[in-house]
Amino acid sequence: MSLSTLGTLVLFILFVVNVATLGLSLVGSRRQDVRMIQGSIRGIDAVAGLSVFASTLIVYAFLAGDYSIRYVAETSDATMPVFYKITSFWGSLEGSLLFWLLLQAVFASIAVRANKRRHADLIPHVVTILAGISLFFVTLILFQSNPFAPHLLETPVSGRGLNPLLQNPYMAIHPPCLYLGYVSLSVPYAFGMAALITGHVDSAWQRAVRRWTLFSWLFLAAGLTLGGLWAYEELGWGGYWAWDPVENAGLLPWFTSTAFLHSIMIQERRGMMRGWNMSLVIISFWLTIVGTFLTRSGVVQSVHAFGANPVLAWTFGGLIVVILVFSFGLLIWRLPLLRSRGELESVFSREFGFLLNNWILLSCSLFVLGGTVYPSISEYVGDRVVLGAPFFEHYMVPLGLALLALTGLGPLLAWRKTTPENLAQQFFGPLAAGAVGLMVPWFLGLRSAWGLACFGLCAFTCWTIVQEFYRGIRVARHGGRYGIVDAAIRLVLRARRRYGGYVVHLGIVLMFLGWGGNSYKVEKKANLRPGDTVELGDYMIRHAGLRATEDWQKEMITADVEVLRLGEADGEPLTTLHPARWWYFKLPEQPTTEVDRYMAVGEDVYVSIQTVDLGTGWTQMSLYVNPLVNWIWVGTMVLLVGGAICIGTRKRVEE
Amino acid sequence: MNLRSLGWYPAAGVGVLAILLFVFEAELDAATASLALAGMGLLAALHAVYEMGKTLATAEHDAVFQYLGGASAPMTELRDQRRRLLRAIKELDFDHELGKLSGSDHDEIVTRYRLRAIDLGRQIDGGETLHPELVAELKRGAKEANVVAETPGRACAECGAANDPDARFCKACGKEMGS
Repeated sequence: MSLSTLGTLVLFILFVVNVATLGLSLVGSRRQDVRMIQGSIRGIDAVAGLSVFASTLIVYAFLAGDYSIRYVAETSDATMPVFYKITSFWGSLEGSLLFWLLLQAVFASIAVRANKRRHADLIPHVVTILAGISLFFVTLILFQSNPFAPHLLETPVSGRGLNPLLQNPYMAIHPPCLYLGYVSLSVPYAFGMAALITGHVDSAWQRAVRRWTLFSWLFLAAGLTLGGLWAYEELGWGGYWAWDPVENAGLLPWFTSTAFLHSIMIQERRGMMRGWNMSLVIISFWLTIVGTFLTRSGVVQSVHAFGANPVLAWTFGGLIVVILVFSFGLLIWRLPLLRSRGELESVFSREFGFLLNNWILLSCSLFVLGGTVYPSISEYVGDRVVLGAPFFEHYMVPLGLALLALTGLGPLLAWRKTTPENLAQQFFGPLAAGAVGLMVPWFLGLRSAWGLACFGLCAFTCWTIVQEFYRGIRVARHGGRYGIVDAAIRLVLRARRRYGGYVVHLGIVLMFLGWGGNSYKVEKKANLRPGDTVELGDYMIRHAGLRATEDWQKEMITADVEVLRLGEADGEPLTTLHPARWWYFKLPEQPTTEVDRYMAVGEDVYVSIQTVDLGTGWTQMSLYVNPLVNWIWVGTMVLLVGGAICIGTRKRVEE
Repeated sequence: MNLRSLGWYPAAGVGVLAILLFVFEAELDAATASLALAGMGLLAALHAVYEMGKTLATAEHDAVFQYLGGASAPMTELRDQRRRLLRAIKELDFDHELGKLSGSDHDEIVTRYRLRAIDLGRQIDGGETLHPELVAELKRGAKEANVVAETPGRACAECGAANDPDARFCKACGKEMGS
C-alpha cells in the first residue's frame, strides 16, 4: 500500500469516527444515555489520535521525499533543509487544513478532558459542537483538498519546492502560533454554546473558558508580532504591517477576544453584560472562520492568500452563515436568562472604562473587517476599489490612541465609584508624566501631532502602571513589615490577574512607543556604486562592494554596506551590513530580498537591495532609519510574560 | 486513554526506532525518525479507537459524571452571586486602601453589598428572604458601624497586623486579641 493510499484511508477512518462521535453525542445528550456520552468523549480522543497519525504520515512523506503525493511534490524538494521540509507541512492549502484539524482535534481532546468532571453538565454539548467543527474540516480535507492525493499520471523525480518567501525561520513559528490562537478560540465558543443549550448561563462556563481565551489571545498576539517581524525582515519595504487582508484576518479575533477578556471581568464581579460576553465569544470564533475564509478562498487579493478556489469559498461562506444563524439564534432564544443583574454605580467607575474599551475594540474589529472585504464587495458591484495602508492608518491611529488613553485611565478609576477628589489625587502624577512625555520629543524637534500624542500617552500610561505598583506595594508592605521584593511578590500573587494585566499593559505601552517611532522615520532610495556614500538621518551609508555566490538551492548576490556615524566619514564603520538578493533555482522569476539591519536601542538602520547590475556595480538600495522599532518586539515579550502571569497555575481547591 | 498511558507512546516510538535501526539496519536520518514518530501516531490512534469501542461495549459507567444533572442550576446561580458580592467587597477594601475610594463611599457601598450577601445567604440556606424588621435593624446597625469603620482597625499586640475592630483572633498570627 502506498503512503498516499494509507493516508487517504486514515482520513476516511477519521471521517467515520468523527461522524460517529457527533452522532453519539447528539443522540446521547437527547436520550440522556451515559454510555453514549462517554463513547462520544472517547470519540473526541480518537479523532485527535487519528489526526496525529495522519499528520505524522504527511511529515514522513515530506522527509522521505515521496513525490508521488502531489502536495509533497508541489511544496518541497529534495535540496531543502530538513527544517523547511517539516514546515512545508503547513506551507500550502491542503497541508494547512490538515494542520488546522490536528490542532483543533488535540485541543478539543484536552479541553474535554480538563473539564469533564468540573463542568459535566456542559460536556455532552461541548463535544457536539467541537465534533461538528472538526467534521467540517475533515470533510473538506477528505473530499476537497486531500493532502495525500497522488499524481494521476507520472511521478516527478523531485518536487517544485516551497515558496522561497516562506523559507524563513519566522515562517516556521508564525503560522503555528496564529493557528493555535485561532483554533483554541473554538473551545470558548463550544462552552458558550453548551451553556446556551443547557440554559446554565451562570458564570460556570466562563470559568472554564477564561484561561482558554487568554491562551488563544496570547498566541494570536505572538503570531501577529512574528508575522510582522517576518514581513520586516523578508519583504524589504522597511515596515512590518501593511494592513494586508490576511494580516487583518489575524487581527480581527484578537480585538474581540481582548474585548472579551476585559468585559468578562465585569460579569465576574457584577453579573452584568452576560449577553454581550456571549456575543463576543461567538463573534471571536466567527471571525477566525472568516479569517480562514479570507485566506483560503481567493476572495481577497493578498501577498499570502492561498489562491482562488471557488469550492472552498462557497463551503466556508456557508459555514460562516451557519455559525452566525445558529449561534445568534440560540442567543436570542436564551436572552431572558441572560438579562443583567446589576447596574452601573457611576460613570466614573472602572466598569464604565471597560465598557468604553469594549466599544472601541469592537469598532476597531468591525472597521478592519469592513476595510478588508470592501475591495471585494466593490469589485462585485463595479470597479475594484483598493484600500491601502494610509486609509487604515487614518482611522486606526486615533482609535489606537484612544485605547492607549483608556489603558492609562482605567486603572486609575476605582471599581464602582470614583470621587472628584480621588480623581485629582490619582491623576496628578500621570498627567505630569504625560506632559513631560509630550514636551521632550517636541523640544527634540518632533512635530507630528499623532506622534507627540502617542509619546505623551505612553508616558501617561506608563506612569499610571508604575503608580499602581508603587501604591500596591506600599499597602502590601504593611508599614515596613515586608521588604520591597517580598511585598511585590505577595502583591502579584494576591491579585495575580490584576497585576499580570498591568504587565500586559506595560507591554502594550512599549509597542505603542515603537509605533510612535514611525512618525519620524527616515527613508531613502539610492543608486550606489561600490565606494559611493549617501547620508541617511544621523548616519552615513557606504557601498563597499558586491559578491555573487551560490549553493544547492539558490544564487545569491550580496552587497557589503558600511554604516558610519554622520561626520565621521574616515572613522571605523559602526558595522557592515550584508543585504542580499536570492534567486532560487526552482523559482528564478521570484527573487527574495534578504534584509540586513543595524540594531540599536533607539533605532534600526535597515538596508535592502532591489536591482543589481553586476557589470557596472550599480545597486539600487532602499535605506531606512526606523526609530524605536525594536521596542515593538520587546513589548510583545513583556506582554507574553504578563499574560503568563495572568494564566498562572490552576488552584487545586475544588468547589 | 488517560494521561498516564500517553507516556507509553514516546517509549513505543523509541522502540520502533530501535527496531528500525538494529533489525532493519536503517540509517538514522530525519525520515527514519519521522517514521518512528508515525508509528507512535498509529499506536495512539489505535488505542483511542479501541477505547472508544470498549466504552460503547461496556454497560457499566462511572457514576461520578453527572452529565444530565441541572436541577442545581438556580442554586449555583445564587452561590455565584454571593461569591461575587464577597469578592467585590474585598476589592472595594483594596481600592480604599490604595486611596482610590473615599471612606464614606466605601462604607456606603460595602454596607449595601453586605446586606445583599446576607440576603443571598438566607435564600441559599432556607429559600426565605430576610425579615423586614431585621433589615431595618441591620441598616441601623450598619449606620452605627459606619462610625466605627472610620476609626482604623485594631493592631495585633503580637505582630502588629491590622485587624477588624471586633476581631477575637489576629488574622495574621492567630493570637487571641485582648478586648
